[in-house]
Amino acid sequence: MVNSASDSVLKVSNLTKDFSGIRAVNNVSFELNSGAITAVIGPNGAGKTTLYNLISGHLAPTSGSVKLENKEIVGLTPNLIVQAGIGRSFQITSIFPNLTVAQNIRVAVISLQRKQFDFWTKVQQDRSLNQAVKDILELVGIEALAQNPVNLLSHGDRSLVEIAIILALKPRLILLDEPTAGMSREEAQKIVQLIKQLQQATGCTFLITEHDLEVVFNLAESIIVMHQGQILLQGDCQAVSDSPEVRRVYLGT
Amino acid sequence: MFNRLQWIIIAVSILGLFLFPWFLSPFNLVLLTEILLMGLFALSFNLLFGYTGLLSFGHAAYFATGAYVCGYLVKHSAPLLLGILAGVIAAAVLATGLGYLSVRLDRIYFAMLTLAFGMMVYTIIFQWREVTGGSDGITGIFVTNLGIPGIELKLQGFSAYYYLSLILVVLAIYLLWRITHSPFGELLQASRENAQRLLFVGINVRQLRWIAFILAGGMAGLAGALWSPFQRVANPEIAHWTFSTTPVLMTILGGYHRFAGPLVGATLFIGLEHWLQSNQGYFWQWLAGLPLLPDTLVESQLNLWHLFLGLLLLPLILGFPGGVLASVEKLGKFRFRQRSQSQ
Ligand SMILES: Nc1ncnc2c1ncn2[C@@H]1O[C@H](COP(=O)(O)OP(=O)(O)O)[C@@H](O)[C@H]1O
Ligand SMILES: [Mg+2]
Repeated sequence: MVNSASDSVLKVSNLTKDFSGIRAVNNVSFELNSGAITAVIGPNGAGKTTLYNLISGHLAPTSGSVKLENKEIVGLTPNLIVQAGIGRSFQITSIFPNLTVAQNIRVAVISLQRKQFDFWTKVQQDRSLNQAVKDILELVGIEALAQNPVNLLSHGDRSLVEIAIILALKPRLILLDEPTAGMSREEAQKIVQLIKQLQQATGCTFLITEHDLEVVFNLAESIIVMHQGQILLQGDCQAVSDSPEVRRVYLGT
Repeated sequence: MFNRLQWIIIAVSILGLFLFPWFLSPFNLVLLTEILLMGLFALSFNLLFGYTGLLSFGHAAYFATGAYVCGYLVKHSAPLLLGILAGVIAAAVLATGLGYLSVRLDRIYFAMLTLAFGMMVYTIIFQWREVTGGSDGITGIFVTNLGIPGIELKLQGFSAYYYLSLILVVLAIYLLWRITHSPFGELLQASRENAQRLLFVGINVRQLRWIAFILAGGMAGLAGALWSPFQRVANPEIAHWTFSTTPVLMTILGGYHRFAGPLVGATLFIGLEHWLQSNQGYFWQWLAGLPLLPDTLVESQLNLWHLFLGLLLLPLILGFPGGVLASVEKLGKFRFRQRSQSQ
């Protein structure tokens, strides 16, 4: 890891979360560099989702700090953390079921353009809203689905919609929680290609949890290995695959 | 936004509504006014229910607040428009306070909390005799002047009040229509679909729901403020929780997924209600012929038209899933498709 403070987007320090009896996240510290794709890996129950919940304000940490571009965000409500520049997905895809794909994205654009108190403009005739929606549809490659209600889409397409919603917020940091979970090989491969492409196109910083090591090695420049709430190791693909500790925990050998 | 057919329907309805006083008997004009006011009440309820996904069981509180405040002022010879304005503001202020607390919860908890607040308002109205007249309500509300110099409101006929209601209700409906089709309105629907996702899109969901609650309360207040001078009385029944179920029924009957659903529901509901009330005699005769019915019930000839209404509403609600309006639209589209295929 490069430790220059200037291009650090996220700085997590001594983050801890206790649930009654369980220390789900235990004294976790790491830094994310601008524009990098970092993966968090670890077996089920390692604390990956809890870590995301702490960063995104879904849960309050027991102790520790999270700084987004040197600004403390612990204590902010989730909507303010989004406004500060962090977008996230959920392990179980979270979108607006009975709205169309275009409406799903438009909701995010309304938030970005701070139009939530516009009670008068006809939403279908708002040029800047709908242009932004169109740009995102093209960026993710789902223009053809624009008018479909999202609850009729395949699982893979629904994940794309969630990613599109997050991109529409123009965040600086994107947290994806198991973006390929429950997907076929081809679908997973498509998502991996898309994430790489989006990272190139937007320059966003990505943090991704993933349990398929092959996917991780293919995608991430830097890997954080978690085990029982703690960071076991942080390094590049080589370092992780060479580590006997990781092999013991992760591969059970 | 609308297709040509919808524009024609809207234009013809509004034109028809303005011409009706020339054709309709005073009785039917009263009925139509009732439909307009209850339709607005149901539409305001549906801003919370159909759009925001919050089921209020205490919406009568805001209707009653509008009705009592306007009724009280008009009775003490305030101009009507001033009374209406005060009624709307009072209802919106009440909704600001009670809404702040109500939107902390959602789903069934929200419904229970609004029900509880509704009962509190009812109790206050029932007990505060000096102002509200207690169980008698405020009676003898006669409009003496409108509030616009030079314009007299002739109360001999019912058409003057009908026109006033029509203008204000059409304006309110237009306002609601713009709100539901605005960015704010789209966020309301998003909060109904997935409140957590909306929060993680950067929106303060609680604040959004609170504003919807205030708007819905204010609109219900307008319906109520027009109601009491129209009925010439404000009685505590309009604050009771049973009255809160009226817009629920109307909305479900007409369809909560359509903007105009509550209006269609109110029309059907009030139409059926009056038809049953005026034909009760026949039903009782018919019932008396049935062998299994206890004689005492038939002899009592109770005012049981509610029972018949329920019996009629049941198949309507079960038979038109998603509401009558949605079903009719579907049927229309189906016909249209058949015709275009056969060409
Ligand atoms: N809300 C919660 N309440 C209590 N325990 C929780 C909660 N969320 C997660 N945990 C526990 O914290 C640990 C870490 O869970 P999680 O962060 O979901 O792991 P991962 O995403 O890596 O599979 C698990 O033991 C889990 O049971
Ligand atoms: Mg998880």
